[in-house]
Parts: sequence; C-alpha cells; structure tokens
Amino acid sequence: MTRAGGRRRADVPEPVETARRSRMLPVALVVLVLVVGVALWLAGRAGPVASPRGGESVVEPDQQQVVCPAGQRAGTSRVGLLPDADGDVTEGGETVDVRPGGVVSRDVPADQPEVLTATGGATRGLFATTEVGSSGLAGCVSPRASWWYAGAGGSPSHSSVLRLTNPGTGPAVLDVDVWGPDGEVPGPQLRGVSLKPGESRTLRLADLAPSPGSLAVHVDVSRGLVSSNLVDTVVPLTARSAGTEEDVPVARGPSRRVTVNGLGVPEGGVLAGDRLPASLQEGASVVLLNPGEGPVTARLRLSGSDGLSQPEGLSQTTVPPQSTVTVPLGSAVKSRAQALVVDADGPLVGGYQSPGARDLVHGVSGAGWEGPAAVALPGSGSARVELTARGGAAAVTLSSYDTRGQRLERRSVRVGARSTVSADVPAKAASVVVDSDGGVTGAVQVRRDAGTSLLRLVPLLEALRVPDVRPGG
Amino acid sequence: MSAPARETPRVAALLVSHNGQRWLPDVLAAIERSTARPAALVATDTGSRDDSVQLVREAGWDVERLGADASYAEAVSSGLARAGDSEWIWLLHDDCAPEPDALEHLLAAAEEWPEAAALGPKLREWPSLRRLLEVGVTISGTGRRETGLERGEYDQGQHDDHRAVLAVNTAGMLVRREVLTEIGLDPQIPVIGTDLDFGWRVARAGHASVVVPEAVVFHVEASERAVRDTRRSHPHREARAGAIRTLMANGPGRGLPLKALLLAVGSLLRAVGFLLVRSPRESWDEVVAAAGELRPGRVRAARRERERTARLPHTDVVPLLAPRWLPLRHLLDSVGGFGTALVDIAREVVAGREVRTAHTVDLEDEGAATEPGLLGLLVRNPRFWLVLGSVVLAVVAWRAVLAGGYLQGGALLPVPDRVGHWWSTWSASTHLLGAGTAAPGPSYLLPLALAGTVLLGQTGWVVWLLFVLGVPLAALSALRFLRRIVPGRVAPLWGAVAYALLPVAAGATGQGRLGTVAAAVLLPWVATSALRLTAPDDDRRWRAVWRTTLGLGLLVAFVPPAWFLAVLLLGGLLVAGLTRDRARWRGHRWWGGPVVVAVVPLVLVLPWFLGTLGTPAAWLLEAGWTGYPAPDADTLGLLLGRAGGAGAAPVWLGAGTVVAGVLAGFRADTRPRVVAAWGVALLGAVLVAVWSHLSLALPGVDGDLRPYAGFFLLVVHAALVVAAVLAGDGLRARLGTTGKGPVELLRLPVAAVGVAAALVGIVGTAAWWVAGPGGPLERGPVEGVPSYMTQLAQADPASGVLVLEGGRRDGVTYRLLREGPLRVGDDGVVAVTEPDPRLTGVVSQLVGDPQPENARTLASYGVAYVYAPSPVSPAVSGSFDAATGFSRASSPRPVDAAWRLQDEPTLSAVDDSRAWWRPVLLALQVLAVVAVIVLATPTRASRRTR
Repeated sequence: MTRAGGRRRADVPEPVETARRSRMLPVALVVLVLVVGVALWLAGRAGPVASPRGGESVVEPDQQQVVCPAGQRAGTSRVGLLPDADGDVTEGGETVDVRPGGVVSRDVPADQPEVLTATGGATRGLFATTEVGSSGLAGCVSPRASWWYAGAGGSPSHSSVLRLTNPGTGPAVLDVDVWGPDGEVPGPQLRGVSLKPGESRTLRLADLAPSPGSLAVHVDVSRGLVSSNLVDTVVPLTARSAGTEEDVPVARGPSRRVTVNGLGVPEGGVLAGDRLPASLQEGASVVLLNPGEGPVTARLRLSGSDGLSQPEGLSQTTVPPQSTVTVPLGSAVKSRAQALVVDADGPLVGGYQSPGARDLVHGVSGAGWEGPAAVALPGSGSARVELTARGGAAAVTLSSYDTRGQRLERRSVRVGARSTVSADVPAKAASVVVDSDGGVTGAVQVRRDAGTSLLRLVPLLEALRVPDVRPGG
Repeated sequence: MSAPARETPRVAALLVSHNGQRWLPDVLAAIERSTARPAALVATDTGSRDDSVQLVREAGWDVERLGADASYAEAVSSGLARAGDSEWIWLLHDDCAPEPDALEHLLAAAEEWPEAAALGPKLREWPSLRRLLEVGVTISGTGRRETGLERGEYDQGQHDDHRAVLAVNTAGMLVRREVLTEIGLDPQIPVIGTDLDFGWRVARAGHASVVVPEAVVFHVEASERAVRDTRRSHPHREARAGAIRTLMANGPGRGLPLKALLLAVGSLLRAVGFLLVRSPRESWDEVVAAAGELRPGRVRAARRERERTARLPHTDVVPLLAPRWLPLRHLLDSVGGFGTALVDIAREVVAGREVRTAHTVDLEDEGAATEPGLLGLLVRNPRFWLVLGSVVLAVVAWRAVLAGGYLQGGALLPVPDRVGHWWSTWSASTHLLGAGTAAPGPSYLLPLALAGTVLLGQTGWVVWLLFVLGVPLAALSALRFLRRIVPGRVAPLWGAVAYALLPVAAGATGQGRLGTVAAAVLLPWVATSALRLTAPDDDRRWRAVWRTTLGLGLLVAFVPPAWFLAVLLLGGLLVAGLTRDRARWRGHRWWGGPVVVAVVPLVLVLPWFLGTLGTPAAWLLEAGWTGYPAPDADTLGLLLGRAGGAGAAPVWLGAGTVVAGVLAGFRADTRPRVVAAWGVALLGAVLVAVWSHLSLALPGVDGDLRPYAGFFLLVVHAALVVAAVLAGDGLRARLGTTGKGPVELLRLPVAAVGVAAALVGIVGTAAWWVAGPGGPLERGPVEGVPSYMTQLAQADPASGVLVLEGGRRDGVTYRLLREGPLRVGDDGVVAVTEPDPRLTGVVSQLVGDPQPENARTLASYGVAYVYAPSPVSPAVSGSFDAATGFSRASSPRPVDAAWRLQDEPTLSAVDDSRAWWRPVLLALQVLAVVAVIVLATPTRASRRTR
C-alpha cells in the first residue's frame, strides 16, 4: 500500500478494464457486507458449550467395617452375609467363617466390641446382630460421623450408656450433645471426647449429663469415624429385678417427617405411672427432639393396616427449640403392627419407648432405602417384619435364609399407601432380607423369652456413590 | 609569485601511496610549494591500480613499487633505503597536503626541541578547512585513538602550544632518521595505528614526540574513513588488531593478564554492538582481531622486540597516555548524545512536516525559518491532545481500579509479586506447579517479564499500563497507522479513538482479557509495518518484513490465533501479487517476505510452539485464565462489536461505527480500498464464526471450553473503522464537487448520516466508558486460599494447598496450589499439563472412601493443607473429617473448611521431569528475537548507498 491520496484526478479517461472493475466494486462491497453479516449471525447462533461431566460415580468400597458393641456380659453375636456377597470377613485378624447367605454365631466376651471387617464382595453384604445385656438385641453398625438417638435417660433409674468404638487407624474426636425437656443438658465432659485408634469408651449419661425426663442424644464426630450404641438401663423403683437393658436404635437425623416403626407392646403390657422413672412415667410414648432454634409444630398420626389414623387426644404438639417433648400414646398403641408418623414444620428427631414390667421397647425411626436391607436373627424367638409405606402403595421382596444360607422363603409383600403391615418370618430363619425401592420404612420385631426387641433393617452397601473428582482449571 | 624555497639537505620526504590518484596532484603541488625543500624525494607505492605511480614519478620523485600486501612499515623501510644521508625523514601520505611553511616550522621546532625524535604538524580537514583532526594523539586503555579534541572542533588557536605527546600522525611526521632506523615501524600494524606504537616506543627509548601546531597539514584520512579504493580486505580488523597489539606490546607487564581479559571482553562487547547495528563484518573483525593478538606467544615476541630499544621504565610513559576515566566520559557523552538524538527525533516526529517545511521556505522570512520549541510543537500537535485527553479519560474511567491491591478479575489473574516469577516460568525446564510439570511457559511471559524488568520489577505496573492505559496506547498506535493511509487529520483522529474504544466496548477490558487488550495495542503497529510489504524499494520492503515479523511475533505471543488470520492475509497478499505482477513476485526477494512473516513468528515463540505441539487446542486460545469461560454472544451483539459477557457497552452504541463503515462504500473514489478493508473484516468475521462453534478440551482444564473470539471481533470492527476513515477523509472537499444527478444528490444526506452515526457512536461510547465500564475487573487482595497457607507455601514449596470445590451434583474439582493462588502465566502452564492420575485417584478415594494411606500419599505430593471454600459439600467435609491423617485447620470464614495433614509433606511424588531441550530452544528464541530486532532497525545511510 502506498501513501494515500484521496483526491481523484479530474478528466482522465479510464481504461476499459479499470471501468469494469469500478462497476464491480459496489457489487463486491455489498457481497462482503452481507457475508460478514451472515458470518456473525452464524457465530451468534452457537449454542452453549456442553456442561462439564460431573456428578457421581458408583465405586466398590475397598473394605467395610461393622462393629458390634461391647456388652457388660459375654454374649453371642450373629454374623451374616447376603447370598451374593462373596468375600472375606475377618475379626481381629482372624477369619470369620461365614458363607454367602449364611449366618454364624460367635461368642463375644464382655466389654469387648467386635469389629468385623469385610473385603471384596463381602463389603456389599455384611450384617450382624449382637445381644445386649440380658434381654436386648442390638444391630451391629458401621462407623460414621453422626448418630442420633431419642428416648435416652439421664437419671439413676433410667440411665443410658453410650458405647463408642473407634475402629479406624487414626484418632477420632467427637462431641456428645444431650437435650432434655428443659433444653440442652450441659455436659462438659462430653465435649472433645477423643478416641485413639481401636479404643472404646463408655459414657454414662446419668453421670455426665444428668437430667430427668426423656433425652435425645447426638454424637457428632469431627474427626474420624466411630460406631456408637446407646443402651438403655431401666431400674423400676419398686421392682425386685435388676432392671432391663435395651438397645436404643439409632434414629434418623432431623427431618420434617419422622416414621417410627415397631410400636411394640412389652411383654406383660405397658406400664405407666409413678413407679417408673420420670422419663417413662407416661408409658408408651413418643419422644421428639427439636434441635433447631425455633419452636416446631408436629402432627402425630398412627399408620396401621388401613392407613393413617388420628387417635383421639393425639393431634398436634409443639416442640420447643433445643428441647425434647414426650407425648404419651396411651391406649392408641395396640399389639398389631403400627407405626407412628410425625409431620412437622421443622426438622425433628423422633423415638418411641414403651416400658414394661420386664422389658423396654424402643421403636425404630428410620428412612427408606433402596436395595437390600438385612437383619441377623437370634437363634430363638419369633420375628416379624413391620413395614410402613412412606407415601403411595409400595411392594418389597421378603427373603429369609437359614444359617447355611439356604433360602427358606421369598415373597412379595405389598404395603398400602401410608399403611403399615407386618410379615412373619419363618421360625428357622437365621436372617431376613428385605429388598425395597425406597417406598417403605421398616423394622424387625423379635420376641423372645427375655423380651421384645426392635431391630433396624440395615440397608446394605451396594456400592459407594462418590462424587466424580477431576482437576480444575 | 612565492619566494624561492631554501635547500634543506638534512630532510628526505618519504611519500607512501596507494590508489591516491584523487589527491596526489594537490599533495605533490603542496610539497612543491614548501618553503623548506627536502633534499630527497622518495616515494613507495603499495600496489596502486590507478595513476598514482605515474603522477609521483612525473613530479620528480624516486618511486619504488611494492605489492599491495606490503605493509606501511615495509613501504617506509623501502623509502629509507633510498633516502640518502638525510638526517630527518618527512613522512607523508598520498592524501595529506602540507601548508608551504609546514616543514619549515617543523625544522624550527626540531632545533628548539633537541630531545624530540618525532615532530608532528597540526592536522586539519582537507582540503583547506578549519576543522581540527589531530594535534597529537594518544591511546586509551580500551585501544581507542584519543585526539583530545571535540568532534568537529574548529581551529581557533586553542591548541597552538608545542607539547610532548605520546605520538604524532605519520601524515606529516618529521622523524630523526637514526631513531626511525633504530626503532622502526612495526610491520604487523597498519598505517592506522602505527604512529601510536611508534610514538610509544620512541618515548620508552628516551625520546620525545612533539606536536608543532604552527605546521599545518590538511588530511583526507582516506584510510580511516574508508574512502580509499583499496582491495585490502579487512581494514577494520587490521586497525583493531593494531590497537590491541600496541596496548599489549608496549604496556607494563604487571597486570597484563587482566588487561588482556578486559580487552577480550571489550572486543566482545564491541562485536555485539556491531551486530546490533547490522555490521556483521565489523563484528567478526573485532573477534578475529582480539583472537589473533591476544595470544601469549605473539605478545611475548612483540614485548621482547620492544625491550630491545626501551631505556625508560613504563611509568615514564604513563603521563602521555589517556586518563583512565576517559572511556567513562565517552560513555556519558554517548548517553547524552543519544538523549539529544531522541529529543531531535521527538521534535521531528511531533513537528512532522512543519519542521521539514520550515527548512524549505525563504530563509529571509524569519518567522517561517524559525523552528518552534518542543513545547510549542506539542501544543500544536493533535497527537499530543489525543494522548493527553485519552489518558485523563482513562484515569477517570478506571478510577475504581487505580490503586489498592492486585488488578485482577475475570480472565485476569493477579500478577506475581516478583518479576523473577515471570522470568522463571518462561525459562524453566520444570515447574513446581500442581503435581509438577515440564510444560513450557506461555510465550507472552517474555515481553511481560521484559516490561516488568524495565519498570523496576513492578509487575503490577505492566498490567496496569495495559488495562488502564490501554485506550491511549491503542489510540496512539492506531493514529500512526491511520495517518499513513490517509493524508487528513480529523478522520484519523476519529478513527484512532473509535478503534481504541473497541476492546473496552466489547467488554474485553472489563473481563480482564489480557490477550485482546494487548492485541489492541499491537495490531495497528503490525498493520503499519505491513503497509510496506509491497514497497518497491528492496531495502525498505525487507525492513518492513522484519518489523512485521517482530510485531506479529509479539501479537502471536499474546493471541496465538492471530497467526491464522495473518497466514490468511499473507496468502491473500501473495495471490494478489502473483496475479497483478507475476514477473516481479516470482522473485524470492518478493515472495520471500510474506513467507518470512508467516514462518518466523513461530521461531520467536519457539519453546512454547514446540511444547504445545501435543496440545494444539492451546493455539486456539488467547492469553488469559481459561477458568473464566468465553461468554455467549448473540448475533446483534457481535454485529455491533460486543463479544458478550459483563463489562460490555450497551449494544446500540456500536451502531455508529458499523453504520459509518457500511456507508463508506458509497464514496466511489475510495471504494477500492474500502472494499479491501471489508475484505479483512470478512476474514475476521469468518474466524469469529468458526471460533464461536469450537469446543476445546485442554488436559489441565476442567470440562470443555469455548475459545474467546474477542480478537477476531476486534479485527472485524477495526476494519470497519478503517473503512469509515478512508471514506471520511477529505469528505468535505469531496462533497464540494458533488454533481447534480440523483445519485450525486444522495451523497450529502448519506455522508451526513455517516458522520452523525460516527460521532454519536464514539461520543456515546466514550461517555459510557468514562462513567465506569463495569465488569469483573477489580482491585483487591489475592483470594482463594487463606493467607497463612499462602505464606507457608511461599516459604516452603512442599507446603502446598489442595483446593477442593464442588460436590455431588457437578462433581468435585481439585487444584494443587503452591505459593498461593495461580498468577498470570501459571495458568498457561497448568492448562497444557496432563493431570497426575495418581493424584486424581488419591483425591477421588479421599472424597469417596478414605483409606488410611491416602493422607500419606497426598503428603508425598507436597500437600500440607486441604482447603474447601464455601459452599462446602458435605461429601467433602464428611470425608475429610472422617479420614485418617487429617485434622481441622482454621479458615478465613466459618463457612469454609480446611484441614491440615498430619504427615510431613515431601515432594517425593512430584513430577520433576525436565524438558532438557528447553534451554536450547530458549537460546534460539532469544537469538531469533535479537536477530529480527537487528534486521528491523533502519539501515545506515552508508550501507544503503553501497
């Protein structure tokens, strides 16, 4: 390009070729303008870039631990595997000889928790139950970071004992929060509890957080993972017996809908009145905790075979913040299968307790699950599965196996909308497996000579759903 | 008629000639007029190919012919043998003419100075001028010939004292024959410099060299100025070698090795200097001369020879040598001279034609002949007001980001605290970034580091200059280009402002798009250089080639996609050239230019170019953080110059420039060039369309990303501005010639609409800009990682921080940071680095199913902390709370989460592989840059006239 001179020389005749080019220039310019416009229009129509892949993936865990709590006396644990869980189970380095689908009994010494470790395919199907005290049964649990309980006691006559075990290889640090009818119960020694790897600790609430009334407990693990069991000990004021011990099933975390299964009636009927510790004087009752900062209004209904019902005198209750309330159920609780359904305008934790002369029944507040959930049954007594539909009608598959892993039965159980049904388990069954698509909550009620126990149906880990991890820009 | 000359039987005139035909008639006539006539006239010719021998012989001299390779010493020796019994020898050159009384004065001084063995005249400029050349000479410690005179100093009698000096020039030297015979001239030293060596040896022999100012000789200095027709192949080399030999052979022995070292270093520096001014022959001469003379054996032999005639110690000669501080004074003089030259250049640039015109008017018109002062020139220059105005407006517009913290935001990461960080990232063969990488540093780090170094290590000033003063810089650059293509002043001013506001209005500046902002400043410079790619003058055309190459290389460093546009344009140039003038363009001196412009920029970014061959997607992205995605732009926005995203001006403000660019086609006489401008716009628009549909994946970047097309959009609208300027220049005069036909009558309203649109657009955009453009660009502290973690990491590279973001819904992303958050340049390395699969596996396991050994593995990557900024996913917090080997650490906000690893961090798992070839590539890159700079500098007049 040479330096510009914009002025045209006048009166110079143009050659033909130049004249032709001059005539084409406007056309070329129009074409260029149009093509530029089209190109930019095309650019503007480009869609957004596909969003990054993300979400979750399903991975097989390398190992799974299940901890059976230590008891004050030696007892027996029952360890089972799902039929397709082919892997190894060890305890303390020793192999636990349990075949897929089968259940084995193991002697458990006193004050010694049993830490079962599953590897390989067994991570997807290990479950166990252990005896607690003289009459209770407790489900063996996998360590985690948060445990909720409702229906504990902090008085000499109704004292709950928290049994914590750190099965990991690193230290664990946790806080235990306790709430009662009058608010949060101070317990300085329950803060910053440290457990070395493999260490177990027993925390007696009556000593560390004494309080009358029904209590709710939250174990909040800030470092590591622990297994936790809460064992209730009740000493009736006028009874000659030493009292009853019962495992308090772990409750579902705070939620606006609480379903408590296993509203069982203790052997010999429900007791009430002044003979009982203050926390149990209401008899069969539901314990609700409001861990929030504002009051929560809860509507209580019972779910039975015909769906939801509103028992007389049992409608709404208000739970003050940071407090528990105990709502007596009175005669509403029958022997047949029932569940308590609580709908609230704020998150609550719920539990059920029903004292008897020789027995204390705690209900199971749980959530729905997808896939198999299993319970290892004791060698004696009868068992039935109680299921409550969370919403619409649901169906589950109920299977039971003997100790050798032979399937005794497999049937479909239908649960009507918002209804509760029970299904008896064959007498020879050593384990029961319930396959659900998430539409039900449930528990297994076991009746033995020693008493009635409610066992939570433990959803077994099919696989871990973990977030996708990738390097960021 | 002159008085008859007296016979001086004691003096023999000895003339040495070599192709001196041009001057010999005057020289011989002057000698003939001498009042003191020499007793013998002997001459030695060293291989003249002209009529020198005949001229001298016809003048009555006794001439002997030697070969062209005969040295000056040999020529003098030859003459001595024929000089009879003369007591004195008067040495003369074939280009020096003495005044009639020169010899007389020399002889008189000889009687006055009995200790003088050599007497020299005052040398003045040929043929009869009053400028002084030499009044005795000495030599400095660097081998430079020192006359003690100012350049161009006039003879006003200020140096008319007789005095002893180190040496006098052999042109007109009167020397005692016995001394000349005893000491002799060194045959290894050419005529330039042999006087210094001889004078030094005369002094050490106990004699004096005296300058006799009243004896005047006029000297051409034909050999020094290389105006003599000679076949001597390396006159510069010989002169330099002679100077080095003089110093090494005559100086004191103590400190000789140090002197040799200093001379070697000095020669090397001089060689580099000659290279920089594109004199490779002289540069090589420096090296060869030093290598030849600084040999111990040679030096020893020369010193032995001199000791033979030396009678005085070295210290007695020192007062005759140049002061030690003289080289420093020369350096200061050079700096001062350079500064003066710059001011002169500035005056000429600012004044432009005004000064040049002033020189052509009638000199009796004092007003016109008077050059205005610099301030006056500035005030009257529209460029000054453009710069001043745009700087003031820029400061107002960016008032929110003028000070306080790091300039960052959008695609602009904070700058590192030290410019050394940029240097090391650009040059390192391995980087301790993330899990370690041998990826190359981005090529734009070299100019940033250079700029930061010039700015005294202030890295923040570099980005501040680019972003805050980007508009004035771009305006200045654009004005230079527009003034080249149109003769007027108003239209280029409008065009410069309109162009400079384009990146701001598009949102590129507000979004921190470093590449587009830098490109806006560089693009007009490249375009200006490219204007001469078709210049008919060979030298000018190739200077333009190298300048365009340099500019394009710089542009590609910041915006690699610019190379694609350049290749398309150069291809178009080649096709057009071959179509219009095939015969000319088939020559390699023509087509080679565009090829060089296309290829050599790749050499200028060689390390990065070769290092990203495996990641070609990197070539489609401009400088800037890839984590800030390219915004989605709509069609209307693109048409009106908006690339989308925050910080862009209202869309309608861009209509003015577009309307003006479209209406530019209505003007017939500028239509061909307007079409060319629209052709460039078309290329840019096509590339915008292509870039807008690309979806790229880079190994170190999460997810697919779309490259930012802001640079191509800038090209499109810059071309429209150029079209508008082309049509708008001289519009008023053009409209004055409008005819009466219906088409002609439309021109006025069309022009009015175009001008109005142009003005409204630019004023509106400027007003929006001054009000505060907005966008994510801001000033503030560097955030992203708690400061205590950053401080620990800066002190110990093994104290890295693993930053986790996201959760179950979109997955978790991780970054391993050392020395805190990423800085400008780090992102370019990280983006092309393949992630470490083992590290990804460890983090995946920690987030999903923590195992006891995970913490130890993480620690082996030099991770001391894990940090999850809010919102913290429960999956992350739960996992790390549960994992063995981690404990909670403090975070700046309660909603964040941080953990400290219990294991001692090491760097055992970090990839420390090195790209061993990188130093070689860097050296090649630097050499290429220097070479292109040298080739791009203006040619010296003497070279141009050869």
